[in-house]
Amino acid sequence: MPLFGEVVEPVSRALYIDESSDDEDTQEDLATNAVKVEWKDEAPNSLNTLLLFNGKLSGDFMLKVLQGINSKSAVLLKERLLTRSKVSKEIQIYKLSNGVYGCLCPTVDIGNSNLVLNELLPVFKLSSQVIIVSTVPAPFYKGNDPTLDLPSAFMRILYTSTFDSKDVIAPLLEPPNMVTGVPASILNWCEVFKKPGCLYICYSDSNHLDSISAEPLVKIFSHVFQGLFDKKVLSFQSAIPAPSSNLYM
Amino acid sequence: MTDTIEQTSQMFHPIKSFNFKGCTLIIPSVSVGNVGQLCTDLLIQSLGCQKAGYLWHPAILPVVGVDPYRLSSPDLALPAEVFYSKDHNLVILQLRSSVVKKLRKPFLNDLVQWMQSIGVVQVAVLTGSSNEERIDEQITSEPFRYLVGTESNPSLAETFRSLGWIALEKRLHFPALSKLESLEEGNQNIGQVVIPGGGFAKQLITACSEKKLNCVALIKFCSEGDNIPDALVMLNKLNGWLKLLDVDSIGSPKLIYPPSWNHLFGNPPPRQLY
Repeated sequence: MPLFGEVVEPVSRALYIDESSDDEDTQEDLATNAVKVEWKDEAPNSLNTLLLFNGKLSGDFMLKVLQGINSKSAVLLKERLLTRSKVSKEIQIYKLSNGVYGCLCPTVDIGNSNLVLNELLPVFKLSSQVIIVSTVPAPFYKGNDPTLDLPSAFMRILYTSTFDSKDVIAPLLEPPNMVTGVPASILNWCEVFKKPGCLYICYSDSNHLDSISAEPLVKIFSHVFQGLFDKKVLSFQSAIPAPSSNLYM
Repeated sequence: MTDTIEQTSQMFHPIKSFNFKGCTLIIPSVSVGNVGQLCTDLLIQSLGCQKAGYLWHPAILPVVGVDPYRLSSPDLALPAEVFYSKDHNLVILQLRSSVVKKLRKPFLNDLVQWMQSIGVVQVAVLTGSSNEERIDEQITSEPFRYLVGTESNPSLAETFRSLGWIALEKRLHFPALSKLESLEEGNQNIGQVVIPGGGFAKQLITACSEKKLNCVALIKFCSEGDNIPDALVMLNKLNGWLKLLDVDSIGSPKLIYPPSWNHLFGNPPPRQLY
């Protein structure tokens, strides 16, 4: 809407580029060799679950799990998380438990999401099921009244028709919420090619991993992977510190 | 990318087995105002179409959500879904996201190849076009046009003329028409076809024409905003042509709005504000 007589370009919900023109797209594509899969522990012949962690809190949670199980790879992941730009280049797969492997979702432009999927396909074929854990800032959640009655951290779920419904531990993602990017690309592929797949979307109003923001993630791990991870691994520093005097600092 | 992702061998992945031979296929072009997609959703809900399967192609941008037609259903809504109505001899391809422009040409070629392989007899592309790019003739007449492919059945254009529809005007230059060029547009044999903001509609017509598949684009001029009225106009036009839905005493088709339309305009304002 022009406010001061300025020329305002028309905007569209549908188009982020002029799709009606006959020109070829000049949008930069990821180089085909930009995304590579690397096994940080010995590559298995088959695996029970491939876990993909998408979002900052998710990445921090994965690091906490690796540290909890005393994995040598924890140091490597910590370094990668400190320099997050590198996350978009490689998909490093870490062993989390017997038959359970995890990796970070690369952060790429939506137009390159299917390219990342393409690199992950050989790993999906080894895995019985694919689980994506995506952490999203709470303001992105669209609800009938998003300011009321919602906890600080909560979880929604989307799953494919072949996924085991016993692991459906959260309400379905309500419309008009939609998921895009790499998680959507993976779940889309899982549904079309009948691979059991599930996407847990964890909303949190905090950007820091603590006992409250980690609650949905802990719920996933303690329910879906019952008994696989020690309780100590899934315990977090309280979000509400015990009252103590700061008079004599 | 196109070589490795499993799309070339099989683009369509059926859920149920249907025979699409002899059907009309309706496809929206992701375009200004999302008119085609809104109209397609309305049609699927009103006709009670069955989901027949999914299209998989690396060109389609990924998006996923819950079933927009049934509340509380755990079924996923994927970016390209195929629906079928046996009673109306109709196949509908709903697209919920754009196509990567770089892969648009292979996508359209694969799409046309699939359309031919399932035996559809004609294709209708539903699209919007930008209001602000209209020429004088388009501003002073009904904001709706049709465009038929060169290989389309000539009787199709005759049918549209008998319905009182206007063919999309050709232009000498786009954008910025001069007055002289406007006057010269009376000659239909010169000029170019442009659908500003119309997504891949024009390219799909060209691709269908190359394969001698009847294809028509229904174009509604619109701007971004509440585009439900535009979708209703589009559906009325489509119904006038294909006679899909029963009409009431004043000639309006009996429609059922998809539940997902309750959320078209986002969240209500927070109550704490007042």
